[in-house]
Amino acid sequence: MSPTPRTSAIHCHRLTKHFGAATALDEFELEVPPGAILALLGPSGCGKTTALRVVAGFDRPDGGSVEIGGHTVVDDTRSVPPEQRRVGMVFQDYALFPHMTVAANIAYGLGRSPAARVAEVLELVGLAGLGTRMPHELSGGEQQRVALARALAPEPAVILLDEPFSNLDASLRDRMRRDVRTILAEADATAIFVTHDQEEALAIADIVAVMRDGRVHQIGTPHQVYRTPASPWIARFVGESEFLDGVAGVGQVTTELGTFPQFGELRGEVQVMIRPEWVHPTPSTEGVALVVDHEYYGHDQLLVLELPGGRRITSRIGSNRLLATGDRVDIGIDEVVLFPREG
Amino acid sequence: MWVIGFGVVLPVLVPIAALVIRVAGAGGEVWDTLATGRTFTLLVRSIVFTAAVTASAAAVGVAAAWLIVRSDIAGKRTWTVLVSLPLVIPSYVLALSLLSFFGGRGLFADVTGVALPSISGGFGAWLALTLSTYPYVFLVTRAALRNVDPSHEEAARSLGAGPLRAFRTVVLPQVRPAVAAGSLLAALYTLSDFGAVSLMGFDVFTRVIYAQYQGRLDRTPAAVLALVLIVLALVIVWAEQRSRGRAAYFAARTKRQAPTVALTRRWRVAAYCGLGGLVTAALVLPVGVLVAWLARGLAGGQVIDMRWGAVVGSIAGSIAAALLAMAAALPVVVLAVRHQSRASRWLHRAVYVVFSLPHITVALAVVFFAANYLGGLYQSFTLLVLVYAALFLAQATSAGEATLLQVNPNLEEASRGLGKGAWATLRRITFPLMWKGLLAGGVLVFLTTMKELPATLLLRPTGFDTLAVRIWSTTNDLFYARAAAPALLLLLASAVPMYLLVIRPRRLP
Repeated sequence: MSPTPRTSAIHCHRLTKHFGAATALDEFELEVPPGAILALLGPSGCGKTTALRVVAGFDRPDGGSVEIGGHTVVDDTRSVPPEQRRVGMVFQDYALFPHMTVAANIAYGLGRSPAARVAEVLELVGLAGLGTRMPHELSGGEQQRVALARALAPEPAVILLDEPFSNLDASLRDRMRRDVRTILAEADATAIFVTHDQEEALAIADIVAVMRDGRVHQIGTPHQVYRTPASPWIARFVGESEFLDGVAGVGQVTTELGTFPQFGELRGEVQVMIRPEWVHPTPSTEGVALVVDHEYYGHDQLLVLELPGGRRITSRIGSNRLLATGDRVDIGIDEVVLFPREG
Repeated sequence: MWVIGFGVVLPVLVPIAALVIRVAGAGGEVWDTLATGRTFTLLVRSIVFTAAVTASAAAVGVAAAWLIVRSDIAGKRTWTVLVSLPLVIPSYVLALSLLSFFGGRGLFADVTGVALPSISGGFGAWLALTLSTYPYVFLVTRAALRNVDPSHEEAARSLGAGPLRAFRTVVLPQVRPAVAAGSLLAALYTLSDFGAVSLMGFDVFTRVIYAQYQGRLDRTPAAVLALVLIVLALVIVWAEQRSRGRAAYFAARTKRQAPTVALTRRWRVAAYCGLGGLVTAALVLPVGVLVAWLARGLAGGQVIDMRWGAVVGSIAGSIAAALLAMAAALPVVVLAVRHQSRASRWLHRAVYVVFSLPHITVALAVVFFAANYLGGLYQSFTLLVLVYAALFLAQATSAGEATLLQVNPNLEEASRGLGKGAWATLRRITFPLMWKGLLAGGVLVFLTTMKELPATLLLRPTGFDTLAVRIWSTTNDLFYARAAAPALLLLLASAVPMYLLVIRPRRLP
């Protein structure tokens, strides 16, 4: 992240947008520091694409304002048209102009004599020499690179990516995620990308904003969002989680698994959230839990452990440890996250 | 299969080949016809006229399509129907209504006493043909506009293009193939139109060829001019093919519709006036004029001079042509789609080339050939229907093709794998899956044959009459009231299939 706080590259302030009776944005707040890659993460229908389209200028909000690079581009009185916002957009289906070559697509947003810049961004996205191809002659991954190159070419203040990897198959997706991250970093671009895939958001973004029902519910580094989710819903949405009832005291919390240290402010009846990889089984003939199921993935493995009360929790452990269905284990817990008891 | 496929195209292709040989053999006389100032003037006039009609039809069609698809005017579905409906009005009926409404002796002058300037000649022909050809451009452009992915336009906007530049550089090029295809239809229609130009008294190729054929014993000049017209039509087809680039177009993956453009109050008024004027001129005026003439004829005690023979002739000829075209389309489609080879491609191409030829030239070639070599068939109902079917076979094949392309070839392979032969598979799998497409094509052929005029005039057996011929001859003799009843009947008969095919399913056949 940027070492010195400058003005944010994008600032959305109290954005509201309705489509008929449905509310897509509800007092939506977001700040993106310059040079950061921010993931707008949320389930489908949460309003994340609407937020992107409002920033780009394709949809006008019912209320609120957007600043890009310190300039207000839309508020209650006026709206700067998309072509004057210096925003580059990478569409879900890439939206490459089918009647233009790759080079013409990239040159579209450039002024006169664009050849040098076209060559430069083609090089940047690793497609040097493919400028004369037509979009339909490229593979999905190449089309995506062209879309990114086209958006980057005019050196916009910010790049917006709408579900950029959803049209790629799984093996290509991992590679493109890494490449897009590298390309954006090399171009020193500020970017917002929209996704419903938490793994993708955590892997690429510097900052993750978790969105639900038209609002940002938590914003932070991937680490913060994963380790200290702001609500049970976010905890479930950004990763696998187990919830147990517990009683919190000073510096500790007691559950049916035992008593564990905690340093939060909550006291009394709480919900205790645990991630599977925080659960450490140790083989023991008198262990409290029984291994009832076992999935081996190679890089790690999942164990399903049954507690004396019949409750089951999962544990993710390294693949080099050998535990089998029917083994008894004791359970240690690294860390816990506490929430007030629901209801 | 090959026999049936070629069997329908050959009766047209062989006479044309014979025409070429005949003209080539005529030697010096050919040059006497070609190398005259009159021929040159005729050529230039025909080209300019076709270009003028095509340009205005394209402008009107694209503007109407844009307004209806992309602007925020009200009543879009109604406008779509009203703007497409003139497709069923043959150009000569439009010409008839324009002629009989305007002018000192026109309906308007008759009723109000105020004489409007008369509309005839080149201007009248241009107006009549523009009004009857713009729906071709409108329908294909509308479909193409609806298929443009809205994110393309948004991508252009975010790259710094204003709304006009985005439309011009991104949307327009994507609908250009559609506009070109629609314009091609308009141009070919205009080039081969005989009814409107002859009623308007405007000398382009078709009218002069007919006059030469009727008026002179020596028919070589007519043959030469017909060949020039054929070449002209082929050049237009070739030019349109050339204009297609190497871009690949796909329907938008997202079914999101592009947002509508809000018109300013001024433009909105202009849009309603423009569309209203168009519908008035192309639809309300012709139908209104025909109804008025009919009413006046009845009020004046005139018995409707309805030649039922013309109705029977029209329907019998059209149904026979539609059935024959459907029967011939089946093998052409199956060969072209499932058994691609050099020969099947040639057959396919031949079908479309024949479709693009001006009817009067085809009719003339067939007349020469039949008179010389097929004495028995000359001026027979069989030959007329054969020519109809060949002329409009492309309509039946394109509809059948669209359906067959959607049938998974695995189904046929599965049938073969289950022990059924090629014929059994065709009968039990392929045909049942594509007959609806063929039927739709057959309806189109029926509709087009009903309106056909020049080939009917040249090839009809003595005593055989159609509605089109009646309208043309009574109008030519200025008996407008007598043309009204057959014209209205023709519109009615065409409007029903048109409604079923084009408007109700709300997609192109």
